[in-house]
Amino acid sequence: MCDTKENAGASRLDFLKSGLLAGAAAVTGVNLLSSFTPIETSSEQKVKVLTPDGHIVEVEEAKMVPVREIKQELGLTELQQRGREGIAGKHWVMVIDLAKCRNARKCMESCQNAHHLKPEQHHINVLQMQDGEHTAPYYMPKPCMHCDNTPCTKVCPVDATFKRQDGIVLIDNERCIGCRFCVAACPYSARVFNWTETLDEKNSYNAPYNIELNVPQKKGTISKCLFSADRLRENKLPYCVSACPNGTYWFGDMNEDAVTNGTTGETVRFSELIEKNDAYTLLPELGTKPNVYYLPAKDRQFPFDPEDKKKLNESHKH
Amino acid sequence: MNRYNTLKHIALALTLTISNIGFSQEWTVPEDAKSVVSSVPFSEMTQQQGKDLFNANCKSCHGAIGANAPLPLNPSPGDPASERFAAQVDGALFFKITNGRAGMPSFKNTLSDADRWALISYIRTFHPNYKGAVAENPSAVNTFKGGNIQMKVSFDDEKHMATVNLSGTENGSVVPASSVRVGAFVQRYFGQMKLGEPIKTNASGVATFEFPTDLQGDSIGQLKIIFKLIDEDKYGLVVAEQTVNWGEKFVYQNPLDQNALWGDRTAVPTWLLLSYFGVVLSVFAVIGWVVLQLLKLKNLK
Repeated sequence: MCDTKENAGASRLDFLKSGLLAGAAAVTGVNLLSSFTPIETSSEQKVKVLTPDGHIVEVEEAKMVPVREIKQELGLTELQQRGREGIAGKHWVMVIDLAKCRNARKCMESCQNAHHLKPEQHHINVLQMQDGEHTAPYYMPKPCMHCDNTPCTKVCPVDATFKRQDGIVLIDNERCIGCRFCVAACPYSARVFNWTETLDEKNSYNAPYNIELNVPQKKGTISKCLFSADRLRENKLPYCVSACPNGTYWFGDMNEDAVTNGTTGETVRFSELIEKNDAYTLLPELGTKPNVYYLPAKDRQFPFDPEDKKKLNESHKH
Repeated sequence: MNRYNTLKHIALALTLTISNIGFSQEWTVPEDAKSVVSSVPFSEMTQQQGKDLFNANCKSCHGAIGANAPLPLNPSPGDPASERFAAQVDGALFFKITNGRAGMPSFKNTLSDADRWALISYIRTFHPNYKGAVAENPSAVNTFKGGNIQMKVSFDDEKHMATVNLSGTENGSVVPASSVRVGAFVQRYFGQMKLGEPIKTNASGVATFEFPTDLQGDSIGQLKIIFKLIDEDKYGLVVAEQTVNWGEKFVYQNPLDQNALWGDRTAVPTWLLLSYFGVVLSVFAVIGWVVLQLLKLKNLK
């Protein structure tokens, strides 16, 4: 298969060479086959390509062969296709230790930077929680739960949001029609909608659409936490996890039964961490099977900010 | 049923052991832990800190110190001023406060090391015969003084055990490297997962590791195990890696293979197809039936 392709390339090259010669002949005044000139210019057509090691090289367009076959009938780009396929054999899971969170908001910052979000848009949001009037308040970071039984992908009429084999729920903003059914379906309010012109549109940021980063953002489409699917591909922890200064986040592969702390780099057994600390998931009664686990805020390391406490008390009065 | 009975017996036996023997017996402290001493000398300041900590964390069970009024529990918490406490070395007290047992909670996560030493410093003020012991340089105590450590690892595939053999050069000759901490790790996607606590090599430079039997391996049950010296700053990076096949075989099931509502159109559940087409077909059937009846009515004329 490869051989025939190479042969085909070689023969095309020979053909182009003859075209070049003919062109040279035309320039030198021998008025031969001047109709070949357009082909000659197309042979000069070069495309700038970024190699994996970061160099920009020029390649003749005619010689470029896609690395693998793209499902043409779906009209996907390579980035979209691999984004839909996901990483085989993985099942990503996040553990959030509420005892460690002191509302530093570094996770939100790095997330918004990575995904080109506006300050009011959150893929991950640190909430101030108090379950009852007399219970202790705590800070709770809330990303997308990447449920195993997703309510959001069920309602998408155009297959724009989907779950891939490694458990990540992504969206394809080139398919999204902005109906916002998924926003209504999500019980965790994990999705944001680009109501107005996005930062990327304002700054005319024109990179090819990266589905695993959901950048560039597009007005009239949905955005949401992606578990930093682009980083996981490179063996790196998600943006929020590695930005946390307090060791709040653990992230890893459930199939390996291991999670790694983004701050300390320590890796522990997932099942043990969950069991020893009596972890829970949000709204388990809905049967969504979330992949984000919370460790209760027991023996917390930081006191709750008195200012925030005051605000919470105010909200209790209403 | 049989298994249930066996379990019941085991549970009963355990309960009896714990209530009758375990608690009345001496609380044993590992020799390693006993030799631990505070890195900071006890002073008036640590004693004051310890007093506050004692009143906040310990008084509820041990009672006011010196009053001999601990809560009547079994085993008795005891008064820290008593002879029972005075007879124990610092390391033993530290171990007990750190780890706890039964009614005595573990203060590993709630009090820092310094806090726990401050507590001991306070308790010691009630032991008139106590003579303080403070390490000059705690990290240097009882560790291998030589360098150029070589690591050899042998594996016992049946028992899931590994023996690490360390030798080093001390005073120009190759000797077993004793009292060097070795950690065992398993390679995972985002880093190396620690397996248990680091183990110190014994006098012949040997540390034996026992691994859990339920470690998740890859599709053929392989695991990459890594041994490292913990005191990297002192001995440099000494690592041994080995792939073993003790892990549990991982059977991958692609969640997309199942027919579920959340999947795309290629994975529609059968019940949904059946019920949808059932409804559509029955609606058309009813319309057809009505048309048929109308035709019959027309033909009646």
